[in-house]
Amino acid sequence: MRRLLIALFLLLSANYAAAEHVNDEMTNSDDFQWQLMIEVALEYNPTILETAELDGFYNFIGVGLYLDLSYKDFFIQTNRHRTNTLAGEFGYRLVEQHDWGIDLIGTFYFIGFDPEAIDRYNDKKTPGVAKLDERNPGGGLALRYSYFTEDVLFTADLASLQGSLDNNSWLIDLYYSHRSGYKNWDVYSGIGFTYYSADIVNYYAGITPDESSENMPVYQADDGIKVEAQIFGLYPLSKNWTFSTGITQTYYSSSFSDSPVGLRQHITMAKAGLRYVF
Amino acid sequence: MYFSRLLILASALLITTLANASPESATAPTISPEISKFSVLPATCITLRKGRKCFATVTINLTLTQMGHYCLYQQGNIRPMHCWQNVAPKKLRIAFESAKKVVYILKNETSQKVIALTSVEVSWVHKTSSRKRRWRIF
Repeated sequence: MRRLLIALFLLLSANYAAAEHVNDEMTNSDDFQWQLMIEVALEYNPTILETAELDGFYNFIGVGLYLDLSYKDFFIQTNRHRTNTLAGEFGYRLVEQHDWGIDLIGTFYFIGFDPEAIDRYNDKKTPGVAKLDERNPGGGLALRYSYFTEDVLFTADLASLQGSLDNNSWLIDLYYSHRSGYKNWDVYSGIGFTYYSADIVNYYAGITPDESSENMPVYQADDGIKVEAQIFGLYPLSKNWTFSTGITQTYYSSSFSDSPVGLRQHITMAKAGLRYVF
Repeated sequence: MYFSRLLILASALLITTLANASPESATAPTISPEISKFSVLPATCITLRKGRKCFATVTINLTLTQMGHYCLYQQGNIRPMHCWQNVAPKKLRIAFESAKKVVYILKNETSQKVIALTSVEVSWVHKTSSRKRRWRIF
């Protein structure tokens, strides 16, 4: 309900703003640039928790706000080509070359979950879930290397999540995306690989003695990986509207899925929506 | 219940916006009394990025006031796209494929005079920025 209201408000705002803005002219000055996109989509986006089922209609409506801001070497950006992006990123450009660069990034790499809330809202109760502690989102700082050509983007992040998780929480995230065109479509094919240190996997998948119960025995997780493949398409409908659709298949290693918490090993996410470009 | 109403409202708003944004037919001023109508639909082809080739099927509507030998040209091309001889043409569907504006010319082959012009513009959603290309790579 709230999401739809927000969507409606944003669409109304978009209509009003369309009269005021020249199409996507993002450059206000040499130093300051911005771009804003709003997306309303039908989506199938299950969480990593097996017990959390998508049952309400609102679970299939997604509203996305894609804000990119850049001032000199500081920036806020959203990776709109990874359909399952968790949040925006803020960063600072350390090195900027013709086809590569190095940035300092602050972002989230793992979405958290609240077992109590899941138990509260699910008809199907899972014994022991309510005893688990809440898992916070995994945010941290990263050094990112990017290689980019007209149709290719490759990023490699080395991130520390010590700020939000345990001391030895770090990861390596690699992502490659290739753009190809068919008629007026832009099609992005992407593949990602993430390595998580044992402390990260253990924070989300592990069960401490305090959390353990008959159905949730103590579980100490090893390090783990995530592999994802994605195909994503964009089609222009007008100067301000585009149609977007995509599917992402994600695989988590057994160090996640072996956990008694009940984490999915395979997740398929799909969506189709409309974007308004300011 | 509320969801349905809101969805209907949102859909109506969206359709209105899209309809407003849709390019209308470009009607060119006729140069000669030999023709009463010469227009193309859609008048604008929308692509995702500036500089990218745009693809569309466009319909040229034309009404001649007299029979004769007429040919349709794309500006810059010597070869005609289509010719009509002593027939009354009404519509012609052509494949549009260009990164920039294309002008269509109707010519009387007997007099070798241009009798009407119309065009299809190319517009885009995203303007390509040369500076900080990485930031806006896609």
